[in-house]
Amino acid sequence: MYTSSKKPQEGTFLWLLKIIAGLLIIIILGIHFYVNHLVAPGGLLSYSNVLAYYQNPIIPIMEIIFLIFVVTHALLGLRSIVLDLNPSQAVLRWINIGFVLIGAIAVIYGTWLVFFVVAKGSGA
Amino acid sequence: MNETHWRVTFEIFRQKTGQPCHFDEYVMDVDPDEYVLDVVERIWAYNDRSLTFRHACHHSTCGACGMRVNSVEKLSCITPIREVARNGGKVRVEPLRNFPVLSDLVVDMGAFYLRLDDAKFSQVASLKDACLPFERKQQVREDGSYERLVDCLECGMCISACPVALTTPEYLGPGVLAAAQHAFHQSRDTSLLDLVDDQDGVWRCHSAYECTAVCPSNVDPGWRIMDLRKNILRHQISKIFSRRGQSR
Repeated sequence: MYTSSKKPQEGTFLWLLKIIAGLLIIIILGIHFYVNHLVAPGGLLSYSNVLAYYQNPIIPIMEIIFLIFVVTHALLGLRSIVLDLNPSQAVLRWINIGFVLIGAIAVIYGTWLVFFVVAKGSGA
Repeated sequence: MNETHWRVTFEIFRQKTGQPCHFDEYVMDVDPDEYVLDVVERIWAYNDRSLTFRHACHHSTCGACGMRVNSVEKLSCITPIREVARNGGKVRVEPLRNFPVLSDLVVDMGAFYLRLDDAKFSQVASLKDACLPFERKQQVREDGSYERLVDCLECGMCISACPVALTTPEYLGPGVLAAAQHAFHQSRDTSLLDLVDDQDGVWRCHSAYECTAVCPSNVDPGWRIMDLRKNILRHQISKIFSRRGQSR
């Protein structure tokens, strides 16, 4: 008889998180393209255009949220592929830590970069 | 050779217990409109009586003759030669993947059948429940009293085609998950959701839909796995709210 292993590798929560992140990526990417190419007057053609664009407080927030969802979705997808290699519980623990670290570093670096661009001001 | 008389080389997978596998080649004169199983039977009858393979009904009802023909899962009894080869070409016949090979083209499907039992697989269903929900319903009496065999032939081709089943024998596999979905759809027995709510159950699926692509009987295991996920999620959310309701 098949007995459920109830191993904590994969389950409803992570799947739901991946689906929601994927859905939000599509929505924010749509907004991102729409704003960049259709709302910004003449489009963002130069570096100074981009700097000026980032002075609108909604834009850096949107970009950071976009980054978080992309990183979350990508790492969860990568993790589910890694699970197909059937790692042991001990190895998986380290893999999980690795993914969390990679995600955190990517989000922190990306957020810093956004604020760095914002801090440059609109004049260039 | 003319249009009704082809010469095709059959490469047949051979392996007896404990021995290394190899392919035997048989050059066969065939009618392109006859079926792969017919030729395999002829090879057995006239070329090599030690060749073993499974077959029964010869009209895609029993699901016994599932094999990989040119690396694609097929019911060999309804796969015409014309569909998989050309005159002077080759047809490679192998056993299903992701099952232990017992002998040549015969695989051990015992674990699969036991898991189907665990998933409370029912061979018959009322007409109302036998089809996929988005299919046109067949003539159904008001009281739903007609019954028919469910679509699944238990051929195991979905498991053979599944790229995830290749990674671990622990994975329940599309056939079993589809059976669980069908049983849940009929009975609303939430123990079935507990059975499949597992990393080796519905969450293991990568939505490749190879199972749906090769299913000879339109069971659509891929859709059924996604439906199970939806029902598990719904069940878990309703459990949260019912707990809160009880604690008040």
